Amino acid sequence: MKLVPTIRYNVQDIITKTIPVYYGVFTLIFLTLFSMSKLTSLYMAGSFSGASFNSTVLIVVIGFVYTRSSFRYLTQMGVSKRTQITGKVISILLISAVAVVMDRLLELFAEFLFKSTEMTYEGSGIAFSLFDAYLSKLGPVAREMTLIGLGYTSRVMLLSATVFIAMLYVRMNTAAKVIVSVGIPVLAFVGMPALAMLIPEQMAKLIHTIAEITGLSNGLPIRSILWMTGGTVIFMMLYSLITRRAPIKD
Amino acid sequence: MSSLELIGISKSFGNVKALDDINLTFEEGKIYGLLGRNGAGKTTMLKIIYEMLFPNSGAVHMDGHAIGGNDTALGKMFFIGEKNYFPEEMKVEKAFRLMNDFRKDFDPAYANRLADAFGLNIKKKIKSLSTGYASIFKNILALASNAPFILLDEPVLGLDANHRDMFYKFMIEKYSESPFTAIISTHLIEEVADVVEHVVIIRNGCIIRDEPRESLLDSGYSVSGKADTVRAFVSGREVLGTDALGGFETAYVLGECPKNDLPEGLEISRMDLQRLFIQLTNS
Repeated sequence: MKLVPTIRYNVQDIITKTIPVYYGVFTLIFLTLFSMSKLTSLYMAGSFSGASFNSTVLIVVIGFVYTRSSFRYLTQMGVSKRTQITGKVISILLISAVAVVMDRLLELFAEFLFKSTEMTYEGSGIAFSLFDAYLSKLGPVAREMTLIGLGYTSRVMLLSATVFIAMLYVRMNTAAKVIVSVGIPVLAFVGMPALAMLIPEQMAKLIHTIAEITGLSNGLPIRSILWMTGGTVIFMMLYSLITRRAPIKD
Repeated sequence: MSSLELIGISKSFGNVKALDDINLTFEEGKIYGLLGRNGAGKTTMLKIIYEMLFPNSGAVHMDGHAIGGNDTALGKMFFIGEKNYFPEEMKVEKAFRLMNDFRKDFDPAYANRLADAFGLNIKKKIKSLSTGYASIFKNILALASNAPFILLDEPVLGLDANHRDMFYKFMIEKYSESPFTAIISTHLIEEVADVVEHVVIIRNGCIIRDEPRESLLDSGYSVSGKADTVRAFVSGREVLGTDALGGFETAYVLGECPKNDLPEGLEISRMDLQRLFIQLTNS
């Protein structure tokens, strides 16, 4: 079994290089803003959202950049597809855990840093606004656990989705890649608005139902966590299906 | 005794049949030459063995068991191909280090010794290696892997004559110390003719020869002389092909070389591997 080296290969560079660089840049940005507000006579006021300074972009980039190269390399090393799939799933869970911890540390650092300035940092922006009512009723530990749960499951689902899409691109031929690359934006930016105009009531009902099921409309984070866990399982199963007999294309 | 067995392997790409019901066994401790013209199916076969491609039908067995995603079976092999499947940004030294992670039999000291001998700078990124040095890098990994089965697809691609000679010497040296199975797919038949013990010739996705080199070379001969005399002599024999130059002709014949009853003016000689290969795969 080559599972341990496979996981190590999948996560080592990301955890030791990519993540420190990514968060290092944000830390430098925060320190620069803090220094400018304290050391210069400029009046600096503003607000940052946690949605802008978190691992969302990082996770999408990791999913797209590393999937193809690790698939080719691990196959060259004689790692079976079964082990590659298991290794990828465990790596997704590990990387997401590190990312969510780093996000939280960055939030705490930013909150601490900007406390004495005219700038404010709204940590976990989206989570706060969607589940504000629910979270405000919780004690500090439960609130923190819920935030971490939301952050973790959202990152795991996002990374699973990008890994699946990246692998789909590995499997698809050029024509299929063009169809998907053009088709999805067209569907999202033309098809959906067109449907909303043609059948507004049905679309509104559909969106409302989805928002309710996912816990977004009724402010229930646990429902969102469950929904994202379900989404993760689906993406991981799809990834497994397309990887099991994936050939190396030259 | 370890063995690698292909059972009823067929593979098509669209309408093109790359491999057609291949049944073949590679035994432990032999150096095989896998020969075939461009597009014959050599690379496809090697990639299917290493699970880089999957067949439409059939199975590959290692020691009597289907490989089918088995890490242990895959770990008994190491494949190197024309293409590079290593991350482009990776340095050679890191590739050696990681190889050690994935394959416990990998010998990093030997890999470094070979890198020194070939003049391969291990500080370089893999993407910056020339075609020749990229081949050297992969060959080093293969030789130092200590895998019982090494699958080498065009291992000397881009190598100059000196490096090709060095590679074959190192391979024979390694093989003499601890025998392994090497399956070498190459177009440079003359160079491997003295290295391989067993020859597999593939044509249009089918195996047309699978036998020890000596027995293959004994299976045919060439006869040269005046065209009329040659034609008269080969009449009724299985002729693979002929070369004519002026009034002289050389015929390549399958069958046992006649020792007696040779008409005057005819010269009979044993075909070399390349000549025999060309005649067998020309049609």
